[in-house]
Amino acid sequence: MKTTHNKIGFGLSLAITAVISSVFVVLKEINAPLKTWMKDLTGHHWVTHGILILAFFAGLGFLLSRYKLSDSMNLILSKIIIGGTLLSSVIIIGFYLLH
Amino acid sequence: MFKEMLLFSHVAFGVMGVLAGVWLFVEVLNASENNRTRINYMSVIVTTMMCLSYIIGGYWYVFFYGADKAIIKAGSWPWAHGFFMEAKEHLFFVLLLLSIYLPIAVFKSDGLTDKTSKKLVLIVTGLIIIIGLIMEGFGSVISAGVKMGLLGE
Repeated sequence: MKTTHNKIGFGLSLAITAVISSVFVVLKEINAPLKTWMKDLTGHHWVTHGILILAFFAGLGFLLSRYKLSDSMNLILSKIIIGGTLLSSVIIIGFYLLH
Repeated sequence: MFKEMLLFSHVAFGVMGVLAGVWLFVEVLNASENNRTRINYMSVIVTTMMCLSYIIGGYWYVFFYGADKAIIKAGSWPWAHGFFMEAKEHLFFVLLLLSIYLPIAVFKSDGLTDKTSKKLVLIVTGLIIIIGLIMEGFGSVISAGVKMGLLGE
Protein backbone atom coordinates (compact mmCIF):
# COMPACT_ATOMS: atom_id res chain seq x y z
CA MET A 1 0.00 0.00 0.00
CA LYS A 2 2.94 2.30 0.75
CA THR A 3 3.78 2.07 -2.93
CA THR A 4 0.42 3.58 -3.90
CA HIS A 5 0.73 6.24 -1.18
CA ASN A 6 3.95 7.60 -2.72
CA LYS A 7 2.51 7.60 -6.20
CA ILE A 8 -0.65 9.44 -5.15
CA GLY A 9 1.12 11.76 -2.68
CA PHE A 10 3.74 12.97 -5.13
CA GLY A 11 1.19 13.07 -7.98
CA LEU A 12 -1.03 15.41 -5.98
CA SER A 13 2.03 17.41 -4.96
CA LEU A 14 2.99 17.76 -8.64
CA ALA A 15 -0.42 19.18 -9.59
CA ILE A 16 -0.58 21.53 -6.58
CA THR A 17 3.04 22.71 -6.92
CA ALA A 18 2.61 23.43 -10.65
CA VAL A 19 -0.37 25.70 -9.97
CA ILE A 20 1.32 27.40 -6.98
CA SER A 21 4.42 27.99 -9.12
CA SER A 22 2.38 29.76 -11.79
CA VAL A 23 0.57 31.90 -9.19
CA PHE A 24 3.99 32.71 -7.73
CA VAL A 25 5.11 33.87 -11.22
CA VAL A 26 2.23 36.36 -11.35
CA LEU A 27 2.86 37.54 -7.77
CA LYS A 28 6.57 38.19 -8.28
CA GLU A 29 5.97 40.01 -11.58
CA ILE A 30 3.37 42.39 -10.12
CA ASN A 31 5.15 42.79 -6.78
CA ALA A 32 8.59 44.38 -7.25
CA PRO A 33 9.72 44.03 -3.58
CA LEU A 34 9.01 40.27 -3.71
CA LYS A 35 11.06 39.89 -6.90
CA THR A 36 13.89 41.92 -5.38
CA TRP A 37 13.83 39.78 -2.22
CA MET A 38 14.00 36.62 -4.38
CA LYS A 39 16.91 38.09 -6.33
CA ASP A 40 18.78 39.05 -3.16
CA LEU A 41 18.39 35.56 -1.72
CA THR A 42 20.37 33.67 -4.39
CA GLY A 43 21.47 36.31 -6.88
CA HIS A 44 18.64 35.61 -9.35
CA HIS A 45 14.87 35.47 -8.83
CA TRP A 46 14.56 32.44 -11.15
CA VAL A 47 17.07 30.42 -9.11
CA THR A 48 15.18 31.20 -5.89
CA HIS A 49 11.90 30.32 -7.60
CA GLY A 50 13.30 26.94 -8.68
CA ILE A 51 14.67 26.09 -5.23
CA LEU A 52 11.40 27.03 -3.51
CA ILE A 53 9.30 25.04 -5.99
CA LEU A 54 11.45 21.90 -5.74
CA ALA A 55 11.51 22.09 -1.93
CA PHE A 56 7.73 22.58 -1.83
CA PHE A 57 7.15 19.65 -4.23
CA ALA A 58 9.36 17.33 -2.16
CA GLY A 59 7.98 18.47 1.20
CA LEU A 60 4.32 18.25 0.17
CA GLY A 61 4.95 14.94 -1.60
CA PHE A 62 6.47 13.32 1.50
CA LEU A 63 3.72 14.80 3.69
CA LEU A 64 0.86 13.56 1.50
CA SER A 65 2.54 10.15 1.13
CA ARG A 66 2.18 9.61 4.90
CA TYR A 67 -1.62 9.63 4.64
CA LYS A 68 -3.75 6.84 3.30
CA LEU A 69 -5.68 8.57 0.57
CA SER A 70 -8.76 6.86 -0.83
CA ASP A 71 -8.49 4.43 -3.72
CA SER A 72 -10.80 6.67 -5.73
CA MET A 73 -8.01 9.28 -5.63
CA ASN A 74 -5.79 6.81 -7.48
CA LEU A 75 -8.40 6.55 -10.24
CA ILE A 76 -8.66 10.31 -10.80
CA LEU A 77 -4.94 11.08 -10.26
CA SER A 78 -4.31 11.29 -14.02
CA LYS A 79 -7.09 13.87 -14.40
CA ILE A 80 -5.77 15.89 -11.46
CA ILE A 81 -2.27 15.96 -13.01
CA ILE A 82 -3.65 17.01 -16.41
CA GLY A 83 -5.77 19.70 -14.72
CA GLY A 84 -2.87 21.05 -12.66
CA THR A 85 -0.50 21.10 -15.63
CA LEU A 86 -3.02 22.77 -17.95
CA LEU A 87 -4.09 25.36 -15.37
CA SER A 88 -0.48 26.21 -14.59
CA SER A 89 0.39 26.54 -18.29
CA VAL A 90 -2.67 28.70 -19.02
CA ILE A 91 -1.88 31.03 -16.09
CA ILE A 92 1.77 31.47 -17.21
CA ILE A 93 1.04 31.89 -20.95
CA GLY A 94 -2.05 34.04 -20.31
CA PHE A 95 -0.19 36.32 -17.91
CA TYR A 96 2.73 36.97 -20.28
CA LEU A 97 0.38 37.46 -23.25
CA LEU A 98 -1.45 40.19 -21.32
CA HIS A 99 1.51 41.57 -19.38
CA MET B 1 33.04 28.62 -27.22
CA PHE B 2 32.11 27.53 -23.67
CA LYS B 3 28.96 29.67 -23.82
CA GLU B 4 27.91 28.18 -27.16
CA MET B 5 28.60 24.63 -25.98
CA LEU B 6 26.38 25.23 -22.96
CA LEU B 7 23.54 26.43 -25.16
CA PHE B 8 23.90 23.52 -27.60
CA SER B 9 24.01 21.05 -24.68
CA HIS B 10 20.84 22.55 -23.20
CA VAL B 11 18.99 22.06 -26.50
CA ALA B 12 20.53 18.62 -27.16
CA PHE B 13 19.62 17.22 -23.72
CA GLY B 14 16.09 18.63 -24.14
CA VAL B 15 15.69 16.91 -27.53
CA MET B 16 17.07 13.64 -26.13
CA GLY B 17 14.63 13.93 -23.22
CA VAL B 18 11.71 14.28 -25.65
CA LEU B 19 12.96 11.37 -27.78
CA ALA B 20 13.42 9.21 -24.68
CA GLY B 21 9.87 10.20 -23.72
CA VAL B 22 8.53 9.00 -27.07
CA TRP B 23 10.46 5.71 -26.64
CA LEU B 24 9.02 5.28 -23.12
CA PHE B 25 5.49 6.08 -24.34
CA VAL B 26 5.66 3.25 -26.90
CA GLU B 27 7.19 0.85 -24.35
CA VAL B 28 4.36 1.58 -21.88
CA LEU B 29 1.73 1.09 -24.59
CA ASN B 30 3.17 -2.42 -24.97
CA ALA B 31 3.96 -2.94 -21.28
CA SER B 32 4.59 -6.51 -20.13
CA GLU B 33 7.04 -8.35 -17.89
CA ASN B 34 9.39 -8.60 -20.90
CA ASN B 35 10.01 -4.83 -21.18
CA ARG B 36 9.56 -3.89 -17.53
CA THR B 37 13.31 -3.31 -16.99
CA ARG B 38 13.52 -1.20 -20.16
CA ILE B 39 10.57 0.93 -18.98
CA ASN B 40 12.34 1.55 -15.64
CA TYR B 41 15.58 2.56 -17.38
CA MET B 42 13.83 4.83 -19.89
CA SER B 43 11.93 6.69 -17.17
CA VAL B 44 15.25 7.44 -15.43
CA ILE B 45 16.82 8.50 -18.74
CA VAL B 46 13.95 10.97 -19.42
CA THR B 47 14.41 12.47 -15.94
CA THR B 48 18.21 12.66 -16.31
CA MET B 49 18.02 14.35 -19.73
CA MET B 50 15.44 16.91 -18.60
CA CYS B 51 17.32 17.69 -15.37
CA LEU B 52 20.59 18.16 -17.29
CA SER B 53 18.80 20.42 -19.79
CA TYR B 54 17.35 22.41 -16.87
CA ILE B 55 20.65 22.79 -14.98
CA ILE B 56 22.72 23.67 -18.07
CA GLY B 57 20.02 25.96 -19.50
CA GLY B 58 19.61 27.60 -16.11
CA TYR B 59 23.34 28.23 -15.80
CA TRP B 60 23.41 29.77 -19.28
CA TYR B 61 20.30 31.85 -18.55
CA VAL B 62 21.66 33.24 -15.26
CA PHE B 63 25.21 33.99 -16.45
CA PHE B 64 25.04 34.60 -20.22
CA TYR B 65 21.52 35.49 -21.33
CA GLY B 66 21.81 39.17 -20.33
CA ALA B 67 23.67 40.15 -23.52
CA ASP B 68 21.20 38.31 -25.78
CA LYS B 69 18.30 39.81 -23.88
CA ALA B 70 19.58 43.33 -24.57
CA ILE B 71 19.92 42.52 -28.29
CA ILE B 72 16.40 41.06 -28.46
CA LYS B 73 14.82 43.98 -26.63
CA ALA B 74 16.57 46.50 -28.89
CA GLY B 75 15.54 44.60 -32.04
CA SER B 76 12.29 44.27 -33.96
CA TRP B 77 11.16 41.17 -32.04
CA PRO B 78 11.20 42.34 -28.39
CA TRP B 79 8.33 39.94 -27.67
CA ALA B 80 10.78 37.07 -28.25
CA HIS B 81 11.96 37.92 -24.74
CA GLY B 82 8.83 39.58 -23.31
CA PHE B 83 6.62 36.59 -24.03
CA PHE B 84 8.58 33.57 -25.28
CA MET B 85 11.57 33.67 -22.91
CA GLU B 86 9.55 34.70 -19.88
CA ALA B 87 6.96 31.97 -20.52
CA LYS B 88 9.67 29.37 -21.34
CA GLU B 89 11.72 29.91 -18.20
CA HIS B 90 8.64 29.42 -16.01
CA LEU B 91 6.93 26.65 -17.99
CA PHE B 92 10.17 24.72 -17.60
CA PHE B 93 9.36 24.27 -13.90
CA VAL B 94 6.22 22.31 -14.84
CA LEU B 95 8.27 20.13 -17.20
CA LEU B 96 10.86 19.58 -14.47
CA LEU B 97 8.23 18.54 -11.92
CA LEU B 98 6.65 16.10 -14.41
CA SER B 99 10.09 14.66 -15.22
CA ILE B 100 11.00 14.17 -11.55
CA TYR B 101 7.60 12.54 -10.88
CA LEU B 102 7.87 10.15 -13.86
CA PRO B 103 10.17 7.54 -12.22
CA ILE B 104 8.07 7.71 -9.04
CA ALA B 105 4.97 6.83 -11.09
CA VAL B 106 6.86 4.05 -12.91
CA PHE B 107 8.76 2.48 -9.97
CA LYS B 108 5.88 2.79 -7.50
CA SER B 109 3.46 0.93 -9.75
CA ASP B 110 3.41 -2.78 -8.98
CA GLY B 111 2.98 -3.51 -12.64
CA LEU B 112 2.12 -1.43 -15.64
CA THR B 113 -0.29 -4.04 -16.85
CA ASP B 114 -3.18 -2.55 -14.86
CA LYS B 115 -5.15 0.13 -16.67
CA THR B 116 -4.91 2.89 -14.02
CA SER B 117 -1.11 2.78 -13.62
CA LYS B 118 -0.56 2.51 -17.36
CA LYS B 119 -2.84 5.50 -18.03
CA LEU B 120 -1.03 7.60 -15.40
CA VAL B 121 2.44 6.92 -16.84
CA LEU B 122 1.20 7.50 -20.41
CA ILE B 123 -0.32 10.86 -19.43
CA VAL B 124 2.77 12.05 -17.52
CA THR B 125 5.02 10.97 -20.41
CA GLY B 126 2.69 12.55 -22.99
CA LEU B 127 2.71 15.85 -21.10
CA ILE B 128 6.54 15.75 -20.94
CA ILE B 129 6.69 15.22 -24.73
CA ILE B 130 4.21 18.02 -25.49
CA ILE B 131 5.76 20.59 -23.12
CA GLY B 132 9.25 19.53 -24.25
CA LEU B 133 8.33 20.24 -27.88
CA ILE B 134 6.82 23.60 -26.85
CA MET B 135 10.13 24.43 -25.11
CA GLU B 136 12.05 23.62 -28.29
CA GLY B 137 9.72 25.81 -30.35
CA PHE B 138 9.96 28.71 -27.91
CA GLY B 139 13.76 28.36 -27.95
CA SER B 140 13.76 28.69 -31.75
CA VAL B 141 11.75 31.93 -31.55
CA ILE B 142 14.15 33.33 -28.92
CA SER B 143 17.14 32.50 -31.19
CA ALA B 144 15.35 34.17 -34.09
CA GLY B 145 14.76 37.20 -31.86
CA VAL B 146 18.52 37.53 -31.32
CA LYS B 147 19.11 37.15 -35.07
CA MET B 148 16.57 39.87 -35.87
CA GLY B 149 18.24 42.16 -33.35
CA LEU B 150 21.71 41.55 -34.82
CA LEU B 151 20.48 42.05 -38.39
CA GLY B 152 18.85 45.31 -37.38
CA GLU B 153 15.61 44.30 -39.06
